[in-house]
Parts: sequence; structure tokens; C-alpha cells
Amino acid sequence: MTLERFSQILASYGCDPARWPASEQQAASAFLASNSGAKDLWDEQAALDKHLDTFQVVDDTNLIHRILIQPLPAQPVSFVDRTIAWLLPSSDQLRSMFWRPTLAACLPLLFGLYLGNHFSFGIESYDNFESTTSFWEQELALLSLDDYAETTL
Amino acid sequence: MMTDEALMSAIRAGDRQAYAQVVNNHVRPVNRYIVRMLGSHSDSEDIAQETFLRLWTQAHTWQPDKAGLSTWLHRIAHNLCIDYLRRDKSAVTSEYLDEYAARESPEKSLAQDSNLQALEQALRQLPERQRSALILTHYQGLANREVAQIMDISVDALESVLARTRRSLKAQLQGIETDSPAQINVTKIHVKERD
Repeated sequence: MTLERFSQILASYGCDPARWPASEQQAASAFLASNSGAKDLWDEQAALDKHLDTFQVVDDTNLIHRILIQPLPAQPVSFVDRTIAWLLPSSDQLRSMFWRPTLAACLPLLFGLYLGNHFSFGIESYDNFESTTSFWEQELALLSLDDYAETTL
Repeated sequence: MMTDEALMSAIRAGDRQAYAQVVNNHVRPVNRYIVRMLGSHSDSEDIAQETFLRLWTQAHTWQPDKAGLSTWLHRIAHNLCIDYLRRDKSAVTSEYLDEYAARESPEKSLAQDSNLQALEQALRQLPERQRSALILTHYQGLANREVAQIMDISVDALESVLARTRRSLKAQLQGIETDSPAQINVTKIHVKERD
């Protein structure tokens, strides 16, 4: 700690060591105790601190009440939070705790059934075959390990 | 006792009890800051209410790793005060204080009133940035890093602002004797009619 830095600390933060930068508090306090020039600088700032301390504010005890009775809007909830809250409801909703994860687990299955029902994915429909027999012949050929291309040739 | 993180998490989920607890923990220092910033203006109550309304509506924006809850609330109050002062500067300068509490004797109270009015006047004449830096550091007991964060400036810049502020106040208050602290009762403030 130098006299110059000590002077800067006093000029900015005043005389109370509690207001000095935490990292320099110890060094500045030790410097004040050991240096007479530092004590003079400290005395120069003490009058202003004393003056500033006269400005006290009495708390308004009713303010808390007035703040707490003001209407509060509903909390904005993100989509992720809403989904998590839906999937994992509070413990007082025991039924929801079981059926919601079950239903959630079924969602991919339902989605797959929906897709399978509406899209062919390149597989010809049963109705396009001349007879049921030819359809099943092709199906069996596909299921067998034979080379399908060779059988059709 | 719940931590600030737990309380804010509860507030985000809509827990009004957690909100009441945070208000109870922080309303006094935040309100003192607002009253000192606005020079005991009656609108300080509106600013305090708005600050805590934002605590509720903007709870999801608080990042505990970046700022403590007290720092965050002071920053909200600081921004609201600055907005108010820039919007309606004339309202603050036309204001007068009528009553002081903690009077011990008529002679002493006169001296205290005079000293306090001089200080109040000197603080009011400071630029908003200087006033804010001084109040946050001297009265609110916040660390320099927290004050710098609230004011969105570097610690070096804060030190420079504080040094200028104290120099300016010293020049304005030179020759005025001080005694024991006088108090402003914010519940008994009457605002003079605007011109």
C-alpha cells in the first residue's frame, strides 16, 4: 500500500474501512495504523463522512403491505416448463403421476401407427395386387432370404 | 431457511409466499435507496412498488452466477430511478421536506434541519450517476464490484466517479457543522404544488 493509493481509496470510499475494496481493506487499515501522513488524509475525509451520515431514512412500515396487496400477473411459463409440469405433476396428484408418463410413453407408438396408416413408404398397397395369392407370394419372397430380383426375373 | 436461488425458483413457479419473503427481506434497503435517489419524492413509493412487481414478472431473468439478488434488485431500482429522473426532473427539484423525526430540542432540530437541507440540496444538485454511486457505496453498504455492476461501469470508473462526487460535496458543504443524525420520515412527506 502506498500513500498515493491510500489517498485514492479515501477520496473514493471515505473513512470507514468497511466501505474500502475488500482486497485492500487489510493493507489499507495496517497502513493507516502505521503512517502519520495517512492519518492526516483520513481526518480530511472524516468531516464529509460525518455529514453524510446525518441523512437517515426512517422505514415506511406500511410499504411492505402495499407491495404485497398489489395484483400480480400470472407467471409466464415456458413450453418446456409446461411440458415437464404436465409429465411430472406434484405428488398430491397421484393418479396423474402414473397415467401421464404411461400416456407419454405411448405417444411414439400412436405416432408410428398414424404414420403407418397414412403413408405407404414405397410399399404397394394390398388392393393393387390382382389376387390375395400374388400379394402373399411377394410378401413371402421378401421375407425369405432369397434374392428377390432373381425370383422376379 | 430458503436460499435466494430456492426462493427465486419458487417465485418463477408462481409461489406468492416466496415472493412475500423476498419482499420482506429486501424492501427496506431498496426503498431507502429510492428515497435518497429521488430526494424523498412521494413517487418513491411507486418506484418501490414497480421494482418489486418486476421482481415477480422478471424473476426468470435473474442469473445467480452473475449478480446477487440484492444487487439485481438495486439494479432494477436504479434503472427505474434514472428513467424517472430523466423523464420528470422538474418534479424532483420543486420538492420540499416538511417534517423530520427524531427531534431532541428546538434549537438542535433547527440546526439539524438546516444541515440536512444543505446536504439534501447538495445531493440533489449532483448528476444522477454521481448521486447513485455515492448512495450505493456510502448508504447501501454494497461492495464496489456490486455498485459497478448496478451502474454498468468498471470499478476504476466507479472510483473516479466517487472521487469527483466527494470532492464536489466537500466544496458545497464546507463550513457546515454536523451533529447527531437527523432522520427523514418518508411516511410524512408533503409535496409542494408544482409551478
